[in-house]
Amino acid sequence: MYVRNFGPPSLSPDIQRLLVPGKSEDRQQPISQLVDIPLVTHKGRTTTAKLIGNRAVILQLFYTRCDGTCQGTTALLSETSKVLGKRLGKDVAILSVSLDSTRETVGDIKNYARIHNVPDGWYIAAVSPSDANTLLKQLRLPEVKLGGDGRIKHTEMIYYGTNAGKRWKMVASKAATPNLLAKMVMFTHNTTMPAEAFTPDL
Amino acid sequence: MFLKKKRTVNAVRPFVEPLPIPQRLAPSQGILSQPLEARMYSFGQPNLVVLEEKEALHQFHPDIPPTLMWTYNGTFPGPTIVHRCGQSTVIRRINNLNPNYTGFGIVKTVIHHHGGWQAPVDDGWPTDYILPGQQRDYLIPNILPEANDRSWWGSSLWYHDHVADHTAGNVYNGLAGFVQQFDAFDSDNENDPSPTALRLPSGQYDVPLVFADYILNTDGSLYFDQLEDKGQVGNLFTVNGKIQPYFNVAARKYRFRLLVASQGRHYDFHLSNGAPFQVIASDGGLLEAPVTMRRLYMVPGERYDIIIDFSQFPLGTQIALMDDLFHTDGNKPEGIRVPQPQLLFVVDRNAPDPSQVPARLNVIAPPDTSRVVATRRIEFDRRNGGWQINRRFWNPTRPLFTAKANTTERWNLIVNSGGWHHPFHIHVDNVRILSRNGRAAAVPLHERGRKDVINVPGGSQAQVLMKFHSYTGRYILHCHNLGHEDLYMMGWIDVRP
Repeated sequence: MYVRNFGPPSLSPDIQRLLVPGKSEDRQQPISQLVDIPLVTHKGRTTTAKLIGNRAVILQLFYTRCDGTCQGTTALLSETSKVLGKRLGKDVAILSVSLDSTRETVGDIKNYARIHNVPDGWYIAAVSPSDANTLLKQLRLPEVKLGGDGRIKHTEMIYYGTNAGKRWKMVASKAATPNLLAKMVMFTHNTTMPAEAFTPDL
Repeated sequence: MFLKKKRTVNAVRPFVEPLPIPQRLAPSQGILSQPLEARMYSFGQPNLVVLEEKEALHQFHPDIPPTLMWTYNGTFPGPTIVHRCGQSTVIRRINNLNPNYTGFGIVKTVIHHHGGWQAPVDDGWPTDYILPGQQRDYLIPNILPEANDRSWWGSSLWYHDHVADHTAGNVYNGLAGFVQQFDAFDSDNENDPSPTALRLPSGQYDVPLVFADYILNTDGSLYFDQLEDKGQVGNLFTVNGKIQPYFNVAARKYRFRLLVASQGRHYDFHLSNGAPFQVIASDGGLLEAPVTMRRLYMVPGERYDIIIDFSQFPLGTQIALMDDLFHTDGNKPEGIRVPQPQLLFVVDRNAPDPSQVPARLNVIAPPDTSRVVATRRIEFDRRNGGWQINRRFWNPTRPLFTAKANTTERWNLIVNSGGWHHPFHIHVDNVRILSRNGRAAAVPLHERGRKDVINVPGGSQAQVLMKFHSYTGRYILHCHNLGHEDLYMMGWIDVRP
């Protein structure tokens, strides 16, 4: 006769056979705040944490010699900086980190900033090879690899988020328009931005 | 620079907690703090239900510390909303989340009444959000889009957050709940004396099951990778918010309403003893007739109602509801490899069973392709580093295309690459599947009802018939893999009069 049990059941052999023991595992901590690494920017030395502060940041991974997607992404950021207007520098920083640590010089960085007429609030930065790889690892991207043709394969993603809010997102550079990128960055950063402000023209 | 590792929960004792059943949400009583606007009375005096978004502690398992989650009314999943055809409902949503919250997700929230036929303004447009401290009312008319055709009446729906860019994080944080729909036929009463009543299992024998996979840190906090663009897959299987619970059942028929609320995980449900079950409803409502199956494949956002008759098993029988799909990421399962028990049924008592499963559940007219006014190709692909529909990313200011209300269109849903599957979801109205890979016969019986989520496996296509009814405005369509959706695999249709 079956006796009803009001607590957890004693598992039958058929059920016990189905149970596969789990194994212990450590996982990479998901991004919360951008890893704090030293930067050499066209404006001087700093670190990611100091540069970002309480602002939102738009992060581009690029290198000055890139003849591929970087040009389009930089143009997008240039237009986005215009949409952001006074918010750039105050509420939002743009950080373009070169992945070409072995070849990029401070002169290259400054030259790139000058050619692209980078406004205040946008920083062109070089980092050491190991710091570049640390940043890439945090973003779950493969390490830098300089190809035989002198090119570096790299992501087309633009990352944005805030250290203060511990909130991060990414968007394919070709998915973003200047207006949309500016809006999404402000949307993610400013938790009191009313829905009415989310208009096509920001 | 050192990147920290985090220890996550990998193994817990299964079947130590009973299955919780989300409470049905009772209509709100008393004086409203703010009156309803006149529009809310468009379909008569509505039932008012209140959903308050707020933080609350939730215990996934007794061996894991409690988890601070976002909840509707303090529970995860949220309470179950019950609709009855002909009785409109107003959902008053109050955002009382912590404005100073930091972490994944965003406290600017939207709600989508998934599977419901409501005006686009009440449907959950991704940027129609409210802030902490604000509230918003949504009118759910609970009427048939085509008079006297009850095949348009859904069975099992759900509600969840749908905010731009952060839907994945907000749903993972806990903003999801179930919706049950009834009418004069499917009347929520297995003793209904009406000769036309279906008398399906009801009351305690009508059980919503919300499936979601999670990763938990050992301190109980949620592990969520904000940069996961494939849809995070978890290693802990939850049903109604508990990890692998057990459910003591009577030796009789039960109606289970299955909802996959995962980010990217697919499930291939079956019973551990290989017993068959009957599928009676899909996303859009009751099927014409029950379909007997032994395996049921489901994708994020999809719902099926099934009947399991436990009277065929002796008391003391234990049966696990299983899944065995192996995922390395959310893009697609890698095949059947690992037995993963989700829920343990223990047949522990006898009970009377006045319910029935009629051979005829519904009358659904065959898809009428004679009135098709447009044939469209809707292609899901990965390009330019992101997820696209028709080579375009989501843009709230530009529709994918325009359509005309009260017309019918034929859509070819196409996934060219074999590398990923896309669970397609359409808002407001729903579709019928005409064929898979060009073959009408390839549409299984349980997919021949109305659907609002259709899995389109990699390298395949599904042809569907989309019928727009009278609503005009912005209809959203997107991939319901939430990682894909948030990475802009979303578009909208401008439906004009």
